[in-house]
Amino acid sequence: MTSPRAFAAYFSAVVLISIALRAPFSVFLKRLIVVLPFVLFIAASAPFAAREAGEAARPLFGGALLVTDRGIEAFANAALKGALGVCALTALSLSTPFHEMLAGLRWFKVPAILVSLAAFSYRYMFVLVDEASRMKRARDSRGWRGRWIWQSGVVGNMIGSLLLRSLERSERVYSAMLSRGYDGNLPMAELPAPRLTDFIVAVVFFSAIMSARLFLT
Amino acid sequence: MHIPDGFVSTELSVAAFAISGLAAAVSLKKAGKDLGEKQVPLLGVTAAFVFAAQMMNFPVLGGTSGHFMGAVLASVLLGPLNAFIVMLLVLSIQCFGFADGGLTALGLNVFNMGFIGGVIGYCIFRGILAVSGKSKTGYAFAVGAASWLSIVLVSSVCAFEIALSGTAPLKVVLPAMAGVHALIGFGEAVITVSVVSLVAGVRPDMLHTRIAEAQA
Repeated sequence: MTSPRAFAAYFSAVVLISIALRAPFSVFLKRLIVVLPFVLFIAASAPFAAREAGEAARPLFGGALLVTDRGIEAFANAALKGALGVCALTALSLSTPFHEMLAGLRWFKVPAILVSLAAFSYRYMFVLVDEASRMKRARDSRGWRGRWIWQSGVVGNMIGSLLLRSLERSERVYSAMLSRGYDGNLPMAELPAPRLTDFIVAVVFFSAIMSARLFLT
Repeated sequence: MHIPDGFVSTELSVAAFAISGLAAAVSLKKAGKDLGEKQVPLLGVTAAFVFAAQMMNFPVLGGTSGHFMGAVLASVLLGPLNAFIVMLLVLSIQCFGFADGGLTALGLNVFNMGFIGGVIGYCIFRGILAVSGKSKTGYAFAVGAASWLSIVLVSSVCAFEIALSGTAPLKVVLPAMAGVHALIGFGEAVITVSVVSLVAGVRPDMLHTRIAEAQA
């Protein structure tokens, strides 16, 4: 169980980063909303966990539910850590363009083939997401309103056409790349040389987080 | 089924990173040996496709919706090891680029959806195919059953991992996860079958070759 004071320190670190980035809070909120249902779904069962352990339980809703302090702690711990993870990753993706993350992965000796694959996927992801949303718009403008699982076949056919279009696009892309001299290696962006301020920020942040981890218990 | 940060114990995350890393090394080595540079665009675009397809919701009950996973689809199309690479790419990009799934849980998510969903899902598919016969109906049945089973299996494994880490009791998470996903699995099965039969009809050369023979 991480202490509330440590959580406060971690969250203020994320807030500091987002202020430094001049990032709008709405981005963090949007990402949190996407992830929250799963977090709550799982974490909500935690308060009832320790009931059999013979612990003192307090009644909720006039005794309809029994929760224990340890269960509430487990719930808060998981939910806060989940939220913190989302915020930290959001700060990373807002501060670092994807091609720089890839160059960073190369620096960490991740195999070149994996990094070029990731570069490829990320590039085409947005093209295909746009394609998918055009298909959705076309479907909805024809009055489709799916409410039940046996209507999923429509989505199946859409995903099927999306796949065929993607595969054909990958063939065209491959020919285009070949004709531009592709030899199996994607050129990678060079990381900018680290400056003194980068080191200072890294050291200060790392020691602040580590001391929160070690001393705020 | 993307596990966030803070839901699984450190021991479990580290073990999953080790297993997923090993599986990634094996499949990348195999991919590098077997496939020419032509496969880089193909695998990359398939990963982008799975990402886009995961954003298409399908209806479940009275307006609620589930979303597609695509692990069995990828393994039927590309073979199990390539499917593992595709899921690895999708999950890593979702994690780093979109904060979907925790960074500390990335190894576990890759293990669940890439290894259990893709590789074990493919083994289930081959197993069912051996029994159901290689007719068109038998093939479609094997694809559908393997898709449904992959969803139920991955969600149950997910529940076990969360319970094993002491985050939530097994007898609450397992029925909740497996129950919801037994239903969502039907959507996955319907979609996978219709996508595979579409590809088999229009572009049979795009199906993982051994399966294409099986269907003929």
